[in-house]
Amino acid sequence: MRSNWVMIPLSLLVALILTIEPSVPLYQHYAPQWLLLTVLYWCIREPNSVGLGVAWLSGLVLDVATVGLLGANALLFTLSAAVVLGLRQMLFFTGPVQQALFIAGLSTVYLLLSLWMQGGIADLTMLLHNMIRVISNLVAWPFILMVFNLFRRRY
Amino acid sequence: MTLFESHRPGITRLLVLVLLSVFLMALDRAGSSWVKQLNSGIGSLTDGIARIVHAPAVWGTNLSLFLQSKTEQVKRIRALEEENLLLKGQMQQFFDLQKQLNELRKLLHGQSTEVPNVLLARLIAVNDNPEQRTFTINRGIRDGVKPGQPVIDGQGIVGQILRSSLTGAVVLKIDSRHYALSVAIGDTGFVGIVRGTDTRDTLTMSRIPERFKVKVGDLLTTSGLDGVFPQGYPVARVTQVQDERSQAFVNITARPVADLDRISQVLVLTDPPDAPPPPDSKAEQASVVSIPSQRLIESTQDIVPRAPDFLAPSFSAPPATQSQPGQEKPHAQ
Repeated sequence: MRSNWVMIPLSLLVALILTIEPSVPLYQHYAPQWLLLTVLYWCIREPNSVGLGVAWLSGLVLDVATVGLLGANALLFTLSAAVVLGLRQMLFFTGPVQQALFIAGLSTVYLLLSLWMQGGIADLTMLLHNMIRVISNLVAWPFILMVFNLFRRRY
Repeated sequence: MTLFESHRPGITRLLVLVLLSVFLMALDRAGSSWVKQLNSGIGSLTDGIARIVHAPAVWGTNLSLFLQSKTEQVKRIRALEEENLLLKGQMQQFFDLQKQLNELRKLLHGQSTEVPNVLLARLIAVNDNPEQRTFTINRGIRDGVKPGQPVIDGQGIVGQILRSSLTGAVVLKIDSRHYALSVAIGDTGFVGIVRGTDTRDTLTMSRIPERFKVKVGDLLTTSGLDGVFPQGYPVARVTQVQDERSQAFVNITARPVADLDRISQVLVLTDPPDAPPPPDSKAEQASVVSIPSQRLIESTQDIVPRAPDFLAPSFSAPPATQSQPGQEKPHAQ
């Protein structure tokens, strides 16, 4: 339990770095939304420590890091976290594949809304880019579960 | 046990956070200074992270330089020395030209120009999104980088500083959507606004009167009218001229001369010489508009009473005009 106070900020920091850094355009377009997935993981796992507030703050930091409209990601992070927290008891007991499918569905809505806010919803190529991102989220979720489980077992 | 507790989010908390986000978005769109401060505050953190994470890459290039063979290094140094000499030689001519230009401008009641202060900056992160194409550099507020300053590379204009924090600054590229810049087209004398598109390396300019005869390959340079970019920096080259037969206008597409996708180092013009004084109050707009018109009035006042005097020393005038073509000749070569 005590290790969570190290694990949570550390994992969020690593997710933020993964979002910012490899500044290759291909990666920037198609990489999974690491920060969102990490926040949602902690919402399912440790709802006492990570709730709406942390989600909002992470979204705000992401807004600043990606130089977008301030508050756009904060809003979507909060809403996603609210959905996950509301359905938490169901999500906690489902298998990793169902969980991944649910998260991918949620991130589809997230990405469409964010595209709409940025004014690129009518652009078909942009839409396709985002759909590829959903698939990488789907693939990344079991991977995230695996990494966190590994760390939990170790510490 | 946390398993069986319900963790439904409190509706008031959700509402407060949602409203806060919407409020922030509205303030950001409105361009509130408070939101800018918040942005640059959190930006210090994220730019700092980008800078720290980028550090190993810098060490990597340093290491590869260290491991490079001696002969290669010497060869490279020689090449750079030659280039440096060449540039210095060209600069001598440039200073000479500038002196002449300043004298001529003084005669025309204008202010003299100065060479802008430049600051070398290294790119540390790229973030492209549908709304804008930006990158982060490793110079911030402490180096004198402020939002709005022009950014160039060896070839031409790259963009403009969007946000500056303690640890870095974000540069908006000129091919971002909705980005607009005042330019002059080649020798045609037409001054208009070039816009960024969503597509990489493409700028557009619309409704140019047909009589200006724009050709493919013409260079677009900054006009200096916007008061932000100094005059005469290359921006883009015309790649396509779309002629609409039904109208007397053409639309053009241009490609930025700066290599926007493969930037590693840029120059920030920290003290643009042609820029008006920093905006202090509501009088700003009025003053910007009134200065050129005032100058125009002054110059006409000067000409009108002096007209009779002007005829008298006309014998001394010809040598001055004759010397001009003579002076121009060496530069033309």
